[in-house]
Amino acid sequence: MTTLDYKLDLNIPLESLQHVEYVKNSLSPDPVLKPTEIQVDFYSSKELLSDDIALIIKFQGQSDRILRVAVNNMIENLKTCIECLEVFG
Amino acid sequence: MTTYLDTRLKPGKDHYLAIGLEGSANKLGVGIIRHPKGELSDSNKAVILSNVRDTYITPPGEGFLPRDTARHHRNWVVRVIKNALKDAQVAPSDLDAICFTQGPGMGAPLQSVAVAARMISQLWHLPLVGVNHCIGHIEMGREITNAHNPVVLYVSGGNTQIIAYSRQKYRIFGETLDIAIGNCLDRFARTLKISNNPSPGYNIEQLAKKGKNLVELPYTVKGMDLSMSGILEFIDNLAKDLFANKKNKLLVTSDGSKITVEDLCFSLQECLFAMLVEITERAMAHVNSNQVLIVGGVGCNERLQQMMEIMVKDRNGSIYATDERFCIDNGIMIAHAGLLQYRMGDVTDIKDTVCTQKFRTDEVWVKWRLD
Repeated sequence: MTTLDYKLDLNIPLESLQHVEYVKNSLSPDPVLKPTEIQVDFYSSKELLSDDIALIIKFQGQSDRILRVAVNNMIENLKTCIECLEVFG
Repeated sequence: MTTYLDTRLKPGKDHYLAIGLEGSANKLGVGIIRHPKGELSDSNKAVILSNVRDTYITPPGEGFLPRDTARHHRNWVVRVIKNALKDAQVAPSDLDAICFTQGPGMGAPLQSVAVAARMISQLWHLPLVGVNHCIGHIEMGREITNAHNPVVLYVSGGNTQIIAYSRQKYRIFGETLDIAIGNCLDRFARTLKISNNPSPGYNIEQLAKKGKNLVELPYTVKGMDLSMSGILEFIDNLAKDLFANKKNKLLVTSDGSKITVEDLCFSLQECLFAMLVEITERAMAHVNSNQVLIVGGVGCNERLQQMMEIMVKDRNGSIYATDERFCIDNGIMIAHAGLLQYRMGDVTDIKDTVCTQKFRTDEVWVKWRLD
């Protein structure tokens, strides 16, 4: 059993908690392809009892390479979400 | 007349509006459609309010890869949605549903568009409807051409199927056993290093028009199914011999003249389309139908339409095809099929909007047809 030792958190400040929920609901349905190699968890700052208004995405990967691929891909999708908020929000 | 499709009508309204997002391959399409209330018929038709498309075109000799295609879709999706709303002169609050392609197709491009669909669904407080891409093609073809119960030949870059309707399912009578017909043509275009603009298949068609000599290629109909990868390998090798000026007796005609690239394009089309005509005719005989509807990107090919017409005329039937606006992947077909689903009560919960690369035509319960 391999361990997921490579960790990275993304902290994305947003305008409102509602926007945080929207982005979380848009990104979280898609499962990771290899759950044994990478794990991704989504939290709104409220769930983590923080005063910030932010979406927190926690990545845990088997290697730095896998972590990089997953984080890059997430940022790409995040850009679409932010653009939607900007244009249609 | 029954109005079984009208349980979802908004109070005070006499129509439905839906937006459709398509991005299963290299075309990104967004369309907005209006359905008048009541059952759709020849006199009560859907109205297309906008149909915007942006195609990711790769350099000659290169195909489109999932990652790069997804990047293209992400770059354009918001702008294309904006343009579709502008063309249709519709506000998001006028819409009833957001329809998106859930599969089949390339994973990354599908997912990139689904993310946008989820976002606007939440921002505009509208339900999502996941649509099967093939059903989109079939229903749009039926709506545009008024073909009521045709045998459907679905030919595109990713799919080759011969389909007939029975008991609320579109049943697959025959299909490719390996690569799709459009993939076969596209990959040959890559071997020839011809332009991918507007599409490789279109450019092969133009070259084929100048071809005169038929080179015999393997003919691989397997019952109701087809196999095309062997034909591609065969003609790829012929093309390589031609470019390398290697001696090959297949590259010389009976009168001693040389086979050209145009002749190869012509021969490939003739061989592949003859196979399609054969299985289509057999499917027509099976289901006792005299209508054929051709959908999908390869359906634009005029030579295919012409060959099919000769067969269909012999059977005293009629052929239905659409032009490039509806043949080639587009958002409007997703909006149309999605709206039919929505009117029958189908919505997709955001947690269930995960796209799937494999999503067969016969998995969809066609609730809106009662024949």
